[in-house]
Amino acid sequence: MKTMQTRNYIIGLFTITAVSLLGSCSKSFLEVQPKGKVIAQSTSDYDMMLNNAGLVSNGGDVSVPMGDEIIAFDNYFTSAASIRSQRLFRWDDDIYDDGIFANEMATLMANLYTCNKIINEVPASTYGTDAQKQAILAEARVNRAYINFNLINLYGKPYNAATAATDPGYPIVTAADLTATSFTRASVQEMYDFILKDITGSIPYLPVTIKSRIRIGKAAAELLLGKVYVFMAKFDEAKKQLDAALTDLASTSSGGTLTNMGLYDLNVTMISGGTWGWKANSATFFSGVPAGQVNTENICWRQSGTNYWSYNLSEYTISTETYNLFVSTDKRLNYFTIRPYLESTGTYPLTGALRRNAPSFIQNGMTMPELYLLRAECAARLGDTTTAKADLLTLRVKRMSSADATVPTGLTQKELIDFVLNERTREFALQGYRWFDMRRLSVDPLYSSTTYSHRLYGTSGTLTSTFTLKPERLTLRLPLAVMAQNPEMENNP
Amino acid sequence: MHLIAFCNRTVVARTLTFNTGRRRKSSSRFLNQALRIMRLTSLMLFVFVVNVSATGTAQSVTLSVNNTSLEKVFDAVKSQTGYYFFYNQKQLKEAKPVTIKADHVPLESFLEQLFKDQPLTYLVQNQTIFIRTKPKATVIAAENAAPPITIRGVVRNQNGDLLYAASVYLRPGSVVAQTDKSGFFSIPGVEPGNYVLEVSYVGYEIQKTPVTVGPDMKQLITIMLQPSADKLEEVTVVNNGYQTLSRDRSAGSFTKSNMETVKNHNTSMNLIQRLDGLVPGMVINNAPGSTNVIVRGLSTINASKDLLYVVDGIIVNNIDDVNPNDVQDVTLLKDATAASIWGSRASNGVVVVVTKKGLRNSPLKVEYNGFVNIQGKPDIEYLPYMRSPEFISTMKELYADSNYRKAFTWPGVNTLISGNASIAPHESILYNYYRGLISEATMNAQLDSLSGIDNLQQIKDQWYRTASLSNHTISVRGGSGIYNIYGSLAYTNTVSSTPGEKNRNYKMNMRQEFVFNKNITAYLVTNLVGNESSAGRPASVTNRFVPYQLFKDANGNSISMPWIYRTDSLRAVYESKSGINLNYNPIDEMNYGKTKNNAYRAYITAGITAKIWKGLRFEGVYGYVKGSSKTTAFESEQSYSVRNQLAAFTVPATTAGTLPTYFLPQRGGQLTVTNLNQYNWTVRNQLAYDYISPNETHQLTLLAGQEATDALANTNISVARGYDPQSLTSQPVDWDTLGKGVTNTVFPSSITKSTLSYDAYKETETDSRTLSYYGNAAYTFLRKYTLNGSVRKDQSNLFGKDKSAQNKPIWSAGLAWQLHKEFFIEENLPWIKYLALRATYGLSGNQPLLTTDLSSGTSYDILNTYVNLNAYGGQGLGIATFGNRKLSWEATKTTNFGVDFSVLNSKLSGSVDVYLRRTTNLIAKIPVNAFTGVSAANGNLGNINNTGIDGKITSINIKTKNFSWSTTLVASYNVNKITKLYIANPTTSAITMLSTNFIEGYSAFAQLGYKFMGLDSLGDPMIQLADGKITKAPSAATASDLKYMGTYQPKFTGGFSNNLRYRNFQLSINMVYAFGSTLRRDAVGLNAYTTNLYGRTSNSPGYFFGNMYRDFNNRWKKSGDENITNIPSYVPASSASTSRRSTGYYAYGDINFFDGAYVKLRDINLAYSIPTSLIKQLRADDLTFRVTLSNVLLWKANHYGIDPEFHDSGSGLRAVPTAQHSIAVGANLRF
Repeated sequence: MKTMQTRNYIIGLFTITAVSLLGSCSKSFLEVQPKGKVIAQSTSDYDMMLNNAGLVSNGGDVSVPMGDEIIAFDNYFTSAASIRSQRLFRWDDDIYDDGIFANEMATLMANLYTCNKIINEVPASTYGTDAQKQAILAEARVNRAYINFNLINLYGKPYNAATAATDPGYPIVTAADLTATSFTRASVQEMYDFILKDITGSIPYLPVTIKSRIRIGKAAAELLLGKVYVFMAKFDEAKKQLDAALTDLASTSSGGTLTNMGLYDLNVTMISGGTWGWKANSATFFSGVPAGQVNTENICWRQSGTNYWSYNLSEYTISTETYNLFVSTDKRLNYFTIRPYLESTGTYPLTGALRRNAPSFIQNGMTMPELYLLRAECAARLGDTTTAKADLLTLRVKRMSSADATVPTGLTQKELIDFVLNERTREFALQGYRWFDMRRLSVDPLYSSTTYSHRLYGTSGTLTSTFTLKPERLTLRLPLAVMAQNPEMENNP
Repeated sequence: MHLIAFCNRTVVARTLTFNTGRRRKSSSRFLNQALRIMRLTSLMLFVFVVNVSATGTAQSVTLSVNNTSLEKVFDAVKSQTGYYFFYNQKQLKEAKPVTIKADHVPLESFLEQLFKDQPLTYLVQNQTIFIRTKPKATVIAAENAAPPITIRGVVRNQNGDLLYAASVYLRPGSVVAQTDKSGFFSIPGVEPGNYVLEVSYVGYEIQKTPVTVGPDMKQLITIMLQPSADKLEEVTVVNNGYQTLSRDRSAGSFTKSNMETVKNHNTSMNLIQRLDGLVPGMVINNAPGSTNVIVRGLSTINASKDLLYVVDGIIVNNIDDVNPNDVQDVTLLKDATAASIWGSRASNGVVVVVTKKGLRNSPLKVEYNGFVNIQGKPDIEYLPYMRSPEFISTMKELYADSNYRKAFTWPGVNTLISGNASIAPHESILYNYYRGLISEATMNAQLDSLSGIDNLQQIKDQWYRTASLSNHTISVRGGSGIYNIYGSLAYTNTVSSTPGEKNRNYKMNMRQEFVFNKNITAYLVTNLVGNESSAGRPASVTNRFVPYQLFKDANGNSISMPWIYRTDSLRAVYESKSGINLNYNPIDEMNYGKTKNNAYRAYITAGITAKIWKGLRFEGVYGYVKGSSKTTAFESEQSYSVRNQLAAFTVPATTAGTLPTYFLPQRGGQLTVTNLNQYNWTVRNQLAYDYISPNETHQLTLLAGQEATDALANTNISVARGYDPQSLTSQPVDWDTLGKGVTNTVFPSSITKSTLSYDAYKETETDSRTLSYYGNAAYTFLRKYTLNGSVRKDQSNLFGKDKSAQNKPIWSAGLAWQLHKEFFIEENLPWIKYLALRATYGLSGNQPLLTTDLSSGTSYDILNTYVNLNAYGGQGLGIATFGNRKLSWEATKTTNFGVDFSVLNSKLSGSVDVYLRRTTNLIAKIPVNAFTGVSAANGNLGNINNTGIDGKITSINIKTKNFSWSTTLVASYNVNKITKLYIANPTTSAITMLSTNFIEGYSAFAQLGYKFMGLDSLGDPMIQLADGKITKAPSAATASDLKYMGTYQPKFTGGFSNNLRYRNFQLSINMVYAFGSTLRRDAVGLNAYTTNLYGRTSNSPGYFFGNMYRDFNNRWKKSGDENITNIPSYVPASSASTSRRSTGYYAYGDINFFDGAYVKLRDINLAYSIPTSLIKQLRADDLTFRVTLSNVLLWKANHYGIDPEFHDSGSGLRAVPTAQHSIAVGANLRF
């Protein structure tokens, strides 16, 4: 009996020990960090989030069909073009049917979430110095400004200082919180103020030298700020920033194996037998243009998803008027082809109707050509003809024969501004830039009287329809699906 | 045999000697065995005799004898009254001869008179008259030294399984004992003498065993019960995985299945599939895209809907690893009691599986069980696609329409997408004609020749074979008093319907039990599973493929069809640029690679029980699972995908005569190796306490314990390129270049360039740990009133979870009342044999688990690291799952009322449960406001109520010696309703709403549709809006214009089975049924109202498309057709179609919803057992042959020919039915 008791005692002891052992180690037992998944904590996590490839992409192709530099051909437009493409070209009121969300809004909003998360959380992150945190914070804020600038130019009225305070803009979202349900549209002025605050507050903390084109350095932020000021018609403020950007650019490098920032000389690269392997009159896509991440013209690499209108869709070409803006030696014409996609012999029935067939993405971040063109415009607007011409020349000599590159003399200020704006069309045709210019020019006293129309041509080149842009359609309506989620919100007329 | 004793005195004598302890010592084990077999067989022979003779006798005696032996009188009384006398021959030695005269004297008076002068006395109990020696006062005093004796024994069934909670009555008297978990019982304090042990157990015949109790009695009495003739198995004990409780003492809702039926379901080696239609409350869905097994409706949407499978006390993820032949017992726990025992993972129901055990004190028993199930080929003709003549004439008709040719111009169709431009032979002919390359006569001639070809037979012959499933299981069981073992070996061969595939499964299962001493017992279960499978290159060919394209020519050579990827001219260009053959031959392709899988899993479970003090014991269960699986998928150098990828990464030579530049290895194939390793362990320590007051007024069971589990799964995938299976070498590639993309290749792999993301090595790991504390109690008063309670707290290493989502205790409480034991029932309603009422209430819940995947939501943003070659450092972090900071615990409150009954001499028995489950904070994908940056995320969607009834009623219709017939109806009725939705911005869009399955005020998985109003004069579908307006405008409808059509989860499901036995034949007929669902039809199949009808729609190798539903030809074609058809017109240009109308108005029109009700004759099973006499000659215990016909007949409510079991209601698409009208033959041998 004694042994029995002893044994029972031992068993009891064992039990108690086993149970208490488990209990005591329970805390550490449950505190394991699952592998392959991260909750952002350290400063470097937030730094890595800025390496997120998603930040590069946006739905920037939306503005392509809305630019006035293009025309459409019925045999590709009516039967084959997507309903989105058709509605954008016709400047219809609603682009998307109920229940369908707009990719251009969704991609920007998703990136905005990432930026807000970094902005809100990086100050309390671990293992980072204050300087590191400030730099990451600054970069995220400039990213946010870039996103907000795009959004307000899609869904808010063009910036007009007189009415901006009352014009409905876009909700200012500062939280990364998917449970938020109440959103109100800030005024256009409030949105612009917010954008300016984000950029100006960040520039001092940004690095001059960047390590990859995904990331935003000081020059990129200054260029963006300059562009925002241009869109606010504050040309002197803009020029200061653009000047600073050019100064900083001198020491900005994209680091590593990437070539420094600079314009490509299309006279060397974009010719038959040139370094990019270009061939004339191709019916297919030309893939020789360097990709965005290594493209030296990108100061900060942001791009649309595939721009099918410069790849395999044939409904749009530049108009004859647009074509006439080019001189024959302009190598930028080589981005275009006379042939609809895969038509080995066929051509469009109108002279100068050229289809874009390169590159497949719209570089719509901060780019070298735009820096020169914005500064030239500001200079022209401010009466600094010399700078304006010099900047134009800098760009033009890389685009056409040096004989043709020289900016004509004797232009009036308005003509010079026109010249810069036309240069923008030449540089960015069928890339969606024109739509944003049309918007800002609509509130520019010099150009506000312009009316815009789109022409649709039949198979033999006869005009079949003309669509006229209503002033209210300079602003996109928020998609019906978004409005359905926000019944309190007022949509654009 | 003991029963025979009363009919045949000579046997009585022999029987009694066998049961004396003295003889046992001299008898060898083999003799014992032989005798046991004899007893068994003789019992089987005579059991019915007893049944018959025991009825219909009078209870008065008419007898007149002179100087007759007592024994003769007994015989006479027996024949007149049907009462048996129970005695020992020795007792009668001292009896005096009898002289008695009686005329219709009541039995009692007769007996009184009979024994008046005898040295014997008697006691009447249960139609048995026990004869006892009259105590002699002097002798008792003298023999006072003999102390009361304890009778010990064990109760088993015919298979040797120990029976828990069997009632053992000591007759005469009312002393009763119950067997414990090991089947043991003991009755202490028995005076020496002759007794009968009467053992009863529901579902078994009452067994009466005579025992002689003497002072030297030490032997263990083994009592073997035989199942009742109707083989009805009822729930008498409940194993919840933690403990075994008598059914009477649990208020929970449990269901057990008749294992005999499960055994006969020779259609699957999956235990759960074998339970189809047998378990009330459990719905098994075979439809594609549906939740496979649902218990009592849905209480969750996005959290795991899987049941929790517990095998021998350990949670098992893969129930397939359990051999159904090894299963002793399956219990489904359905109500809150289940969840509060097993924790948050149990809210969808728990299936507790107990595997077979060895026999104590038994020689080895061997059993073989095997079957072959021939499942046939899939019925591909079920899909209503066109055959060649119809297809070609349709195509001709389409091309004749200039709008079609305008929408799909030759250059448009000949468009490259990633280097592919697929033009089917018929398209090529038609384009040739319309491009002016061939004459009309040539076109017609060419098309006619295509019309004349039909590939259906070739598809059936080349791509399918007869599927079958076979299994052979051999098991042994046996043991001594201190050790016993059950072991089985199983081999399963699954022959799929795809030629070239192999799948073999090997299982070894062993359960050993050790009795160290009276206080400590232990067991060890070792289950080893091995699986080997292999397959050729996958291909999915059905009659969706263009109907004229043959796979083999007249000479049996396989036919190449490179057109599936690109035109011949384009192929020629690519081939010359790359120097790579780009031909594609589907039949040959199958052999250009192989996928092999080897998987091993070992389940080791050990348990120990140590009695500490009185009723207190310690129980430990320790489980360890280790599994590994290795899959190698090899695409050889010849395979199309390797050749095509190589070409896409080849830059053509710029100057003639030089070689192209290859960015991928030119030689060797691609090898993908996937390794999966998993380690799970469970440690459970618990203390259990059982107390039974001496007269059983109070019975108390307490249990408290702690459990820790860890499940770690690690997967790594490596891909080697340029792999040579002979030299086992692979070749390097330049990931940086490939990742950033190669331009100017022969053709781009993506849109504009060829890009290959790094895939050489990938690894993922999940580690989920839980720590739980639990306790439960059962208290029973007067064996009639039971109170249950349980509580549990789970903690886990949830990642990305707010504390609020953890640490919620779950609990349940229940009451049970054994009504039939009440005096007023026993007295007044003797036909009620069993009647119990139960009620439980409890709280359970689902935590938003994150450990296995991210799908159920998180409180914090979860980031993924991924390669970004364009970023400094080559890596970036992106948000993989957006955090929902308001995410909270999904909680379910369940109320359950149940009644169990057995009436009319057990002819009608069953149980019915009514439940109400209220789930709050349902975790589901919720639409998120677009301004947040997130489109949809997991969150707390709302509340859902499930109400239902499930029950099982068995009726024994006929029960005679040679023939019995019983019927079982299993029925489950469940309705649910979403009572609240927490969507801040309700969906107003009709299109969004159509894809929303959850709508406030409606049942889950609600189906919505438009009110279809026919076609207009252009063949465009029209609908009626809520305001009565009829429209076809594409954006006209809003959410409020939709009609509720029903839910695709059937409301009323179950099974209906009939079991018949005639002599040695057993026939069971099982039907399953489902009513109350609404399904959406696959109207015109591919929704081909507008798109181009390519030969293929996917560039992934192995998929063959291009055909159209026959209904397409019934579409609107010309004005006036709107009066005869509802199928919209075909408008080639998608923009023209979408701006004019919405074809969804038809596809989701109310006319295309149908009643999903069906009844299926799931199987007919005929079994024949070889008669005992023959079996004996074979020296076996049992030999049974079985034949099963499965899925024999289908009745369905719809007239579209759709089998609702093979219909994906979400997409509205049908799947190819498999294993219909299959036949299985099997055999079972025991010796």
